Amino acid sequence: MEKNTTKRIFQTRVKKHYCTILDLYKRTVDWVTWLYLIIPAAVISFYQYIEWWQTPWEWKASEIQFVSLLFLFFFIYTGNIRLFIEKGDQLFYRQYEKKFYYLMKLGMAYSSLVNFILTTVIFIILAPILIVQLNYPIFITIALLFFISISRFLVTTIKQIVHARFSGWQFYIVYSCFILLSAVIYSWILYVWFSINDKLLIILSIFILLVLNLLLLIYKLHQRDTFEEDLTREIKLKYRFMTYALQSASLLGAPKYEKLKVMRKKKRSWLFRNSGSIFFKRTTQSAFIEIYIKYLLRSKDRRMVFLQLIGGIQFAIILAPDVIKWIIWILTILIILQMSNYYVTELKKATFLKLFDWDNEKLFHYTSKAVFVVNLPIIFIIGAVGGALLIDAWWGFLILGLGSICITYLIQPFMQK
Amino acid sequence: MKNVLEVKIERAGYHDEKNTITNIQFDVGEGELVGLIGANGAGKSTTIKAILDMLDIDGTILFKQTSGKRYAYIPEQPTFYEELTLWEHLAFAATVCELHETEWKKDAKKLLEDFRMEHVIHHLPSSFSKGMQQKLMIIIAFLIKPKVYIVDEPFLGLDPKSTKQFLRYIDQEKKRGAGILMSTHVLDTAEKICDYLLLIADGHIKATGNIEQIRKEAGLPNGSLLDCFEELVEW
Repeated sequence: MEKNTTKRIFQTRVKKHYCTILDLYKRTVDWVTWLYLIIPAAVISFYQYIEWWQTPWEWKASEIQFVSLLFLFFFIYTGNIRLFIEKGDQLFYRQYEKKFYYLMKLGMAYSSLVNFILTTVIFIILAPILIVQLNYPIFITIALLFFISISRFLVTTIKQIVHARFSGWQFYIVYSCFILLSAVIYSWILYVWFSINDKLLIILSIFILLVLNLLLLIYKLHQRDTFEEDLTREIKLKYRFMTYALQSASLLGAPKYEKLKVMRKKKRSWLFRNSGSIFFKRTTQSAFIEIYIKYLLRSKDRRMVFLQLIGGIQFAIILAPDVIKWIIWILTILIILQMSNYYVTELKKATFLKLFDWDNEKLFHYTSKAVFVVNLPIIFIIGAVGGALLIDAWWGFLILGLGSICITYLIQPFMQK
Repeated sequence: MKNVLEVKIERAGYHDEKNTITNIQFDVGEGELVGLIGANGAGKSTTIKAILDMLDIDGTILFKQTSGKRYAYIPEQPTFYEELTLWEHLAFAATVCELHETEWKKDAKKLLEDFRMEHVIHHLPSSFSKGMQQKLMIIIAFLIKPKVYIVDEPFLGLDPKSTKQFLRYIDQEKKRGAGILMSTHVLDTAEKICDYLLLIADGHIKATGNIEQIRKEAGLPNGSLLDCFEELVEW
């Protein structure tokens, strides 16, 4: 009886989650997006995919192996666990311990299934690289699929446990050590797999990872003081698609899950720990640029979005054919400006700014300057990498780096809201 | 007494026509504390938002200030940047309001001491309690030293010591010549400190005047503001 009630609650919440995604899809993706974006991208990707199966690459196998395994290592760190708990649960539901644990168990089971499906999709995409380009046997490819899927879930579980125990700089130190350790273990396991190539050993290592994962999930389930922590994460995950959609449209209104941060979290920032000033001479403009820089750098989410974007784009520019490189370069400038535009609008719309009396024209000027100054190094790096790869001369990096800055300077005011 | 704020709202509200306020007219004079009193949803916050130009409005709002800082606003819900420390908020406010560096730093130090916040100056306000966040808002307002203060429910979350300190500063600012518009539910305090009261219900002004005039209107010569409020405003 108890289990049935919890199952019903869980099913309702999962159903509601998918209804929200469907609703968001209906609101954001129309036939224009299908016609000009999704269908052309799908056709090009499908053609490229068939090419991968049929034509061997010019790259050395060791290089392909290194890049593929490095990609899979980063993929391990992208997982999450949905528990489907809600804020209202603390009113009464949480006191029914068995029911509440069962709800979280269902959430974990659901998350492991989603994780496995997603990993399988990634492996279907990578299959031509692993099977054709690297000549991996089917057994190794399937074993690798299970290894990556379990590792991804394990890493997520450990991250959540660590996050519940440490905060601020302590978390970053412990988590960095964990990443280093996991990189060593990951490389060592794969080295042993490929050098010994013993099926029993491979199955045994996957089994050990699975048991370890289950034990840690049980531990996580019984952590008693993590409700607020879990809830904050849950709300963040629940609204992430909506946040992405709003961000990509440069709109505001994404739910402020940050408000739920528990009090013991992050009292001081490690960046400008003593509220240090960036500019020696303080004017309204320099103050605005300064708060924009701190606004971006001190927020983990914003920092990560920029870093991932820059990293991903560099990766794409390096790998793509020459003509595509040019397209990526110009698209990158537009995407970065769009992102900056979103963040600066968010900063500008904050109620705190409304405490002061602003001249709208001046505020527009300040935000323009802030976006330009902050984007300067990012845009230069992207232009420089593109230039070094596209222009066959030593000054290529410089000309495209500076060119990117000029383009940014010219088009940025038109993109700002 | 010269007016520092003149409010003549014929109509103001949200696009959906809910929470609309009509015919709200009053002035705030130099050194005067005007209390905006009303039940939940009566239109107090809507009035404040209309004054701060955050809503569609038919009418005029006049800040009788020729230059410099027009107002300081203390909102009901503390608002701040999660990524800036307490000190950075103060520095930003001081820079935007073009305050003299040596002076504002001295004032800020005094305010931080008086509100017992000096030990958290380099902390992020998101780690503060509700009361401490409210104190941040209060400190910023008193640091700016404007001609008009617009204060929305300032006592929420404040401990008794800070409430007393806040009232002391309000009194000091009145003496300096600042006009204060304050919305509150704390009627016994409002009765003691407000020079002029505006009783709002259903988006209209139901009664205005000092406490004596309100008592007279309610027909309760010795009644408290709460009694008068109960008498004058239909629930």
